[in-house]
Amino acid sequence: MKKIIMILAIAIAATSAAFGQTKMLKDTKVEAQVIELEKQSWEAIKTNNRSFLESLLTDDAIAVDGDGVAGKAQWMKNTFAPGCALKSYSTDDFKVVMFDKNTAIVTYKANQDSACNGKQAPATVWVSSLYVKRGGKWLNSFFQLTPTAQ
Amino acid sequence: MKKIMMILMVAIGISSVAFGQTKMSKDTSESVEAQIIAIEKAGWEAWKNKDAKWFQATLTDDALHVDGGGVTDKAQSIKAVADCEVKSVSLDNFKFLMLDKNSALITFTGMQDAVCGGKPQPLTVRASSVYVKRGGKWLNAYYTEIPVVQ
Repeated sequence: MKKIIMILAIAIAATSAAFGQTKMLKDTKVEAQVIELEKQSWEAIKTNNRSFLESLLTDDAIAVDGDGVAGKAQWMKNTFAPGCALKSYSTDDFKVVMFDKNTAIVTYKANQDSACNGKQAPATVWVSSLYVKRGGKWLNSFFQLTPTAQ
Repeated sequence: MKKIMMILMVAIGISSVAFGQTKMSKDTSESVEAQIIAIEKAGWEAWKNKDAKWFQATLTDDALHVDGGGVTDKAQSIKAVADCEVKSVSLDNFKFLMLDKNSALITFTGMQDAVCGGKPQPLTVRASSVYVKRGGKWLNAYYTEIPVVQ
C-alpha cells in the first residue's frame, strides 16, 4: 500500500510539474498561422468580407480604441460601417508571444489609408491582436490599435 | 504490477483533466478577476513610486509592452520606469475576460498625471493587460494603452 501511495504521489507531481512549467513557448507553425490570420483579417476589412471576420472573432471578443471597448457585435458594426473604407494597408515588424499552447498575442506595425465619413484614421499604428485556440481553431479574442507617437 | 499500472494511469488521467480544463466556475473567475485588478493597481502604484523591483518580479520574462513608441521587452519596460515622474494615478471601468484557465485579459481606463522623458503623458488612457499564471502566480505578460478620445 505504501508503495502504491508513493507511486501515486510521484505520478501526480510529475504531471502537475509538466502543466505548471514556466518555460517560454515557441512554435513557429502557430506564429505563422496567427500572422497569416491577421493579414487575412486586414484583407477582409479592405474587401468588405464580413463573414471572414465574423467567423474569426470569438463570441466574447473585444476591441479597444480611444473611444472605449466594443464587444463583437459593435466591433463588426464599427468595422463595416457605411462611410468607412480601408483603401490600402501594409503590415510589418511582427512579433508573436505564446502565453500557453492555446493563447498567443501578435503585435505589429500597420500603415493604412483608412477613413470614416471623411475623417482620416491615423496613418501608422501599432497593433495588438490576441488569439485563442478553441475547438482546434485559432480565433481572435482581442484587438487594440495604438497610433504611433509623432 | 498490473494493479499499480492501472492506479498510475487513473491518477495521471485525473491530474491531466484537472490541469487541462478550460471551463471555470463563476466563483473562480470572479476571484481571479479581483486578484488581477489588485495586481494591476499595484503595478500603477509601483510605476508612481519608481519601484523597478515590482516589475522585475511581476512581468513574465517574455512580457511585451506596446505604446505609441512601439513594442518594448521586459528589460526596456523596467528601464523606462525611471524616466517618469508620476504625481497621481487612478484606475476605473474594468472589463475582464478569462481566456483560459491560466490566462486572462483586463481592460480599463487609467487616469494619470505623469511626465515621461520630459513629455507630459495623456491624462486618460484606455489600457489592456494580459495576465498568465506561471508557477502558481499571476504575472503580467502584455500591456498596451491608447489615449482616450476627448
